[in-house]
Order: sequence, then structure tokens, then C-alpha cells
Amino acid sequence: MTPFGRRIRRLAAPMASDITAVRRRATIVAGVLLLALAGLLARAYEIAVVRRDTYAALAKRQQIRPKKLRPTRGEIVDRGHVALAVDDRVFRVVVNPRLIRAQDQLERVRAGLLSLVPTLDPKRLDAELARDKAYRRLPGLVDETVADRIYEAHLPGVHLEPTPHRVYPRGHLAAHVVGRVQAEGRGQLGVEYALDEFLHGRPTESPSTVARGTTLLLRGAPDPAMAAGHKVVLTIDSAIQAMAEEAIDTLVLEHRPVGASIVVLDPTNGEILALANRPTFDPNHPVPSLAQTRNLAVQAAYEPGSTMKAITVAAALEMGAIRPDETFYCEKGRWQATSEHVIRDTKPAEWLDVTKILAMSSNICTAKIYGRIGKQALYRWVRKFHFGERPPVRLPGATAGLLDPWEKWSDIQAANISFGQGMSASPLQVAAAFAALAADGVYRAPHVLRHVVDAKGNVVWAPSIEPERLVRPSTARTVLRMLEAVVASKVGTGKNARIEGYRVAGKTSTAQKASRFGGYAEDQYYASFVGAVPARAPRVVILVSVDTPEGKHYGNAVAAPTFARLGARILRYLAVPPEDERDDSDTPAGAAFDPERHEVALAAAVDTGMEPDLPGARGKRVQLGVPDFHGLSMAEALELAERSGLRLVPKGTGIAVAQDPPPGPTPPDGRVRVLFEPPA
Amino acid sequence: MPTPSRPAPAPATDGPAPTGAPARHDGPRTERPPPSWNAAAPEVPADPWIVIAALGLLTLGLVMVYSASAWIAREVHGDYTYFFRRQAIFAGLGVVAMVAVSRIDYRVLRRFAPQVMLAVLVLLVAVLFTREVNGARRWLRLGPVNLQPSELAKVALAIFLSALLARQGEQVRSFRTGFLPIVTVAGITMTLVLLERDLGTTLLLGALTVLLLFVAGTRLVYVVAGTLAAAPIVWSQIVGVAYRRARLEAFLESGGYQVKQALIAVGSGGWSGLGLGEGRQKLGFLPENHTDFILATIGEELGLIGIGLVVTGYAVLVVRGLVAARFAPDRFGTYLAVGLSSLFGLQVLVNMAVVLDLVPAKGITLPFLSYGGSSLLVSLMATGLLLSVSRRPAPWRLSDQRRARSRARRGTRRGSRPRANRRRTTPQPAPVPAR
Repeated sequence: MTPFGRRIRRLAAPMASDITAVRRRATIVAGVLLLALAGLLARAYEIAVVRRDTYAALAKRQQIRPKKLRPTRGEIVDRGHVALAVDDRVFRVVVNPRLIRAQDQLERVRAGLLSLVPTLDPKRLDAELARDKAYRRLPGLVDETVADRIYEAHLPGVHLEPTPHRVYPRGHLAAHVVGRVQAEGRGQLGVEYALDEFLHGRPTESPSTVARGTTLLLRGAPDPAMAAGHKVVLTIDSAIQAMAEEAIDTLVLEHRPVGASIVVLDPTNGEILALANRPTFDPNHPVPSLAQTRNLAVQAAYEPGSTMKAITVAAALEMGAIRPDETFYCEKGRWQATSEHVIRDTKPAEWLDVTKILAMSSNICTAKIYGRIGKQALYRWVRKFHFGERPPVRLPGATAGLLDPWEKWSDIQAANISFGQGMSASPLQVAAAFAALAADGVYRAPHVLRHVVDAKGNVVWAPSIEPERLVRPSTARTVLRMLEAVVASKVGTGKNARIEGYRVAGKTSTAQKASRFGGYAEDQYYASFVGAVPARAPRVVILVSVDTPEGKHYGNAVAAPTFARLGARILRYLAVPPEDERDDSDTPAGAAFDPERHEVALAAAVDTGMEPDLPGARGKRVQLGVPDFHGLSMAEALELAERSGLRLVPKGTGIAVAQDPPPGPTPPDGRVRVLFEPPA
Repeated sequence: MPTPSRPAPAPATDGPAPTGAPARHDGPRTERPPPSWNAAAPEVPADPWIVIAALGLLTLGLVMVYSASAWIAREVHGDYTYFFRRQAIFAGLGVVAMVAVSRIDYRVLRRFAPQVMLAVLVLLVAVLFTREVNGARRWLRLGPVNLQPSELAKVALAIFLSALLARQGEQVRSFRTGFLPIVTVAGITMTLVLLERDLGTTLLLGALTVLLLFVAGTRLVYVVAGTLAAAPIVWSQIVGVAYRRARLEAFLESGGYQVKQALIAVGSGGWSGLGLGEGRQKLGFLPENHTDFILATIGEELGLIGIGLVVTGYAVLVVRGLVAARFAPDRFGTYLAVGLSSLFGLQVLVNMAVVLDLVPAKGITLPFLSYGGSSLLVSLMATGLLLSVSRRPAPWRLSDQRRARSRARRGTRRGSRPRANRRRTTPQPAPVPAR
């Protein structure tokens, strides 16, 4: 090495290109790079963790778009989920004539539309295309297949609008109950109107991911049920309804009435099994006349007529005002009830017992029975049977009927009301009141809705039907037994209502219609028959009402045959076993049927804490076990004890004030000691 | 510090010591064994860590490219696997290339560095006469393959500068013979790349040059001065070119659409991500999410954990690359390994900094992960080179860059086996250049 080199080394030591120096610097480079990488990781941490919420929110905002779901209207189905009203997917073809002409596509659009929509009228289409408008709806609707084809044809200026379209697959079946929707798809009549809140679909949004303008469904296709309205389940039985429709058609053909209604009720729960009216309509088409849409059974108030006699008799019996075997003098068909008014009977008679009064439908004797209880009690009883009160049936326009308060009643009006004139009620109200008698005196509000369910089948709404005791079971049974005579006895007014193999308890009614000019019209009648079959354990209550029939006008002639025909079919459909006809229907059944025992057991089954709310109310009774004897007279107490299968050991006289054991379970020896004291 | 204007001619800067060269230890002797370039180091197996890191990143890249590009591939090409298949083909080719390159002696490149550099420069010039794509001329159509010469330029420059610096030795501190040639070559390359309107790669090349100069021991004054001299050019390039200026302004306002979308992607990923394939930003929100912005997709689908894994992979690659440099048998190997691993590191840094909104947008790919054939091939070949360096291979005959010269000077050296030479010189202290 030269001295020159040595000098360099001395001055430059350590040399820059020395291996150790190079390595040191390489390590520095590595350190710097690693530090930088660590810094980037820290930055990534800041973004991904610290500020995650901010960015996640931004992401959601741009990525997730709600996908709108077209609302669909809920279905209306009968009790067996047979569809009565459904939604259909149809489209309306809309054209933009201006755009089509501007693009010079007139011929193509015209040819395309005519070939795709065969129902289109070429002249109408030409007329629409010739107009200087940007939006013209073509007449008619197209279904999904045609709509798809139109869409795929890519015709300029042609659009498809999804249109709400309600279809009633069974046409006029239960049309008045189901109702229909108007052009905008909202309910207009019937349940469609009354339950629109439940039925109409809600525009719903489902999250979906957006990908450059197109929609990606994040978790599969959204469930269309989200936008669907609820499903309304009716109590209507399509089969019974169809029978009722047929029966009423026959009736209308025969008697040419102004209107007619049939109501079929299940007395055990108040469910309306069928409800048919004439005139009727097909909800699939616009209704030409408003009168057709009137649900006469619910909306029309008629003077119920003789049917009310059963109520009057039940009231008098329940109050103890009459005995079942009591006889009344029927004045040979003409009775000067007040100084100005005369009451007449169609069949003059002299002495009649209560059964015969009902069987022959004597106005005079019914008025006399009313005389035993008075105006106020009659009013209370009529109200108790839910006359003059809107039934909670949830059908639009349900009438309450007309019933003046008793203070306003004149003497003759009160007498009239006892046999169903001078007041009014809808056929449904009458059927429901009769059903209370058929159900051992327990009233259940008539209803047409079973429940409303959402798309998943959860019950959203259900009517709450509170059973309400109107009369004691024994009273109800007694009246019903009497009403069997209407159909079965020789003098009965409703012999046409007989059904082979079954006992029928029913009541005819022929009411004169009030004239527009005051008083009653001579030639206009409202004829009806309401009955319960089988009479001893009613399964159905059928009401047939005919408004102003041509020709014959008696309930027996007009309504009862329809009742019999329909009743027979319904009983067969419900598979009700026929009863033994050898039983004399006038007298109580033989040894096999112990009415008293039967009564107690049945009463215990149906009523707990339901007791007729009478003037001079008695203490509540426990039907099985030891009853409450407080406040009873000794005779009443003895009777009650006998019915309860107890031995009463009375002490003292007067009204029961104490008892041992107290009301509750039966003591082992079956004895009850009751202390009676004279009232103060 | 005075710099020798004319240093000792070829002071055996590296490699096998010249046969029979006397130990030239004039200076004060030290007790510790003299440092060496590990000239005597035996050949070892290639570094498995580098292989693991590279192949791991490559595999993840394939998966992520598919995940990120499936939707756009379907939209544009009607085939979900369009990008994935192309990337997979290049990955296969690249792995073959990597293995092949790792088997050769890297020193071959030292000998042929000028030729390689020249070829790449020719390609860079050629690419200027191609059709413009997306406002830039970067691709050379070679049959079915689109070659991106600027990708090649990175590795070529690393090789050439390493060779040049290794040859210069201590001369690196001189301005005229050290700094100037380096900067001239680098400058020409950068200018050509810049003419392609690829500022990102240009800056990357600049950073690589500076790094290599620094490691080789140049005077920091030159580096600083050079950087300062280049700054106005860069500035004019940024401010003077509309779209770059827009990018800068967008960055300053932090309103760049792409970067914002990338942040949303990373941000909505959180710790563990939305799950593989569950990302939504790829549905047309984040453009180029399978190329430059693939890290955003990784962040979205694999979360911070995924990003951490990626960073770890690169860290392993860089560290093991520098370890290879540490144990390289010669100066060229050291410089080459430093250059290549820092090239990886720099690319990753720039790319991730862009995605994470730390620097304005640049067109830098993420090695191994981003979609792009040229980038993938070049990255894998560079890995092969690193592996070759880590192997400390015995020099091939072809490797001797001075062979022609030696042949001219000393007939005796003709045909001598360098390996044998090295063995003989093993006990001797390794040549310490001009110590």
C-alpha cells in the first residue's frame, strides 16, 4: 500500500464501504422499514378498530338500500280456511304516446302490443296512441305471463303498472259478509271494509345490498309476507253458506220478495255459520245498484213479529209471573185491550195454556201475559235479550233496531211489543236472541270473525265473546219445549218447518210492515221463521226472513219450508244423529231422560257465576255442592235443596239467614241446616 | 473528508479473493478476526422463511384476488374466475421462475447487469411508442401477455446499481466516479418511467437508489443534495399534471373517492373482518380493489388480523432478505439483497400508506397480493434472487465479471475454478479492501 493510501485510511477510517459499516446501515434500513410497517399497522388499527363505527356507518349508508316490497292485501277465508277473497298479481299497461311518436316507434309498439295482448281493441289502441299525452292507461289488465312477455319485448314508451286486484274465487258466496274493495284497493263493504286495518298490506322495506346500481339480495329474497296484510278467518262455513245461498235462491224464485235473508248461528258459541241475503252481488265486478250491497240480515230493521212472544213468555216464566201450565182466556180472537185499541188473533180461541199460546201464536194471550209483568219489566227483558243495541258483529252498518224507552211506551205499544210489533230489530238480533233460548239461556254475541292471523299464523286479534246468562236453564228449556209445539202440534203455526227425524223448536212470525204513510200497510208483510234443531240439544239456529213476499205471506207458508229444507241439509252435513221420532214431542221425555238431573248438570257446566240479574236479586248459587240459601223463602230453599240433591233441615220461619255448612262442597251426610227468620 | 480522486484500481471489492494475492495489511492489526464477506461460507439451503412468506402471501393473494374480483369479472367479462384464472397462471409461472432463479448463481447477474439494464431501458423506450391505455403507456403487448417494463425496471435497476456499487467500493464516496454514474443511470431510468406517467414507480426507483447509496456508504451530502435537486422536478410533475394534482388535492381534502372507499372497507372490517367473500365494497364501490387496493378488501373481509398477517409476511420477507444480505458471500450479494428486500418493503409501505390514506394515491401494486401478471412475475423472480443470495452459492464460471479482463491480463487465471480458489484462501484473512 502506498503512503498515499495510508493517508486515506487514516483520515477516512472507518471506511464507508467497510463490511461492518454496510451491515450497520443495512440494519438501519431494516429498522426503518420495520418501524414504518409497524406505523402502518397502527394506522390500520386506528381505522379498523378505533374509528370502526364511523366507517361501518358510512359503509351501511352506501351499501344497504332498503328494497321496497309491494304490499299485498290479506286473505279472507272461511272457518276451514277456504279462500273467499285473495290478491292477484295483475298489471295495467301504460303507454307514453308522445315518446313513442318521438322515437318513431309507433308501428312497432302497435304491432307488439296487439300481438301480446289479444284482448286489446285495435281501434282503442290507435286512439290512445294518437293522443298527445305522456301517460295513457290502456283498458284491461294483463296477468303475469303476458306482463313478462311485454317486458321482454322492450317496447319503447310502454310500461307495466302493478295494480291491486282483488279476486273473490267464490263469486257471490257470502258476498255481504266478505264485501269488496273499491278501485284503490281499500275495503268498501263487509269485512273488507270493517277489517281494512288488518287486511291492507303495509309497504315494507327489506335490506338489500347495492352493487353499482343493481340490487343484490343480502339474505335471499325478502319474505313477501312482510308486506302482506293479515288473514281474516271467518266463522262462516262455506258448505253451509252454499246451502243457504241455494235455499234462498229457491225461496226468491218461489215468492219473489223484495228482500230475503238467512242467518245460521251456532248457539253454543254465537258463531255465524252462514249469512245470505237477496238481492246480492258478485264482488268481482262493479255493483250496478247500491241496494244489492245491503246486508239485510244485519243492516235492515224489521218489526220482528211473533218471534218476540217467545221472549215475553221466557221473561214471564223467569220472573215467576206465570206457570207453564197456566191457561189464559184468549177472547175468541178479539180483545178490546184499551179503550181505543183492539188486538186481534188470526186463529180465534178461548182458553189456551202457554204452550198453545205460542203454538197458535195468540197476540191477545201474549198481551195478557205481558200484563202480568208490566212495561218496565218487559222493557228490561227485551233489552236483556239485546234488542235496541248494536250487536258487536263487526259488519259495517249493523243496526241497533228501534226500541223506545219504556217511559215513552203507550199502553197499546207495550202490548204490541210483547208480540213483536212497535219495535224493530235486524234478523241477526232476532236470531241471536233466539239462540240464547236455545243455549240454555246464555246469550253469546253473534260474530262473524273467528280471528285475524298474521303471515306466520300468530293470532293478531280475536273477538272476546263473553257468555251472558239471561234466564235460568230451566226457563230456557221450558220455553224451547213449548216452541216444539209450534212445529209439532196439530194447531201449531209452523208445521211446514218439520224436519224428518228431528225435533224442531221454532217460531213463525208474520209482521205487518209499517207504511210510509203511518200505520201498517195492509198488503205488505214481513214473514220469518226462526228455529233451533235438534230441539233438545240445538246445534244450529236458523232464521229465514222474507220481506214482502208475493202471494202468500204467512211465515209458515213462506219461510218455514225453506227452514226445513235448509235445516235438513245442514243437519246431514253436520252429521247430527236423528232423534227417535216415537217420542211424543208434546210431553217431556221418558225415563231415559231425567230433565231435572240433566238440567242441573248442564247448568253447572255452562254457568259459573252467571245468574240472571233480576229485580229483587237473589244470592249467587253454586250449582254443584251446597248452594247459597241466603234470602230464599223456605219453599224456594226446599226446592233448591232437592235439585242439589241435599237434605234440608229447616229451623224457624221466614227468609233464610244462616246455613251450615256454608256454600261449597257437599258434606258427607248430605244435610244442610238452614236458619230462617221472619223478615224485619 | 477528502475523497481519493483515484482509488486503488479494482481493490478486490468482493467475491473470491484473487489467487495468490498477498494479504495487504498495512494498517494497525486488530485482534478480532477480520470481517469478511463470508467468502468462505459454505453453500447452504435457501432460506425457508423467505419461501414460506412469499408462498403464503402468494396464496393469500390468489384467494383475495378471486374474492375481490369475482363480481367485477362477472360484470365486465361475464366470468367470475376471469381475473383469478389469469392470476393463477401467472402465479404458476412465477413460482417456476422463482425456483429457477433461486437455482442460478446471482453473480451471473452481476456480470450481465449492464446488458439487463440496457435491455430494460430499451423496453422502457419501446413502451413509449405504444398505444395509450388509461392515460398512460405502461404495457407492452407481447403476444398474449401484457408486459409492464416499469416493473422490470425496478429489479433491473436494483441489480445494476448493486453491481455498480459493488464495483465502486470505497469510490462510492466520490462524486464523480461514485455518485454521478449511479445517479446518471438511475436518472435515465426514472426519466423514462416518468415519461410513462408513472410517478409512483419513479419515486420508488428514486427511493431505491437513495437507499442503496446510503447502504453502500455514499456521502449523505450527495443524497440530500440530489433529493433537493429532484424535489422541484417532482413538484412540477405533481402540480403540473392535472390528474396528479387532483389526487394531491383530493388527499389534502381527504376526499379522494377511492381512498375513502378503501377506508370504509378497512373500517367496516374491524378486528376480524366480515368473513372471506363477505366484503361488499368490491360490489362496485371500491374500484381497482383487486389490484392496487387489494389491502382494503383484505381489511374488509379478514379484518385487522388479516392486515396484521400480511404485514407480518412482508416483515418476514424484508428481515430475512436483509439477513441474506448480512450473510451474503460478496458485496454484490449484500447490495442486491438489500436492494430487493427494501424494494419489497418500499412498495408495501407506499401501497399501504395510500390505502390507509397517509399519502396521496399512487399506482403502486402490493407485491404477491395485487392482481397483475408483470408485478407478480417480477416479485417472484426477485424472491428467487433473494433465495439465491441466501443460498450463498458457489460462483459459476459465468459469474466472474472480470473474467474477460482477467483473461486479457493474466492467462494463468484462465479456467481456474473460483470455488477451488476460495477453498484455498479460506484460512487466510479475507481481503479487506484498502483497509
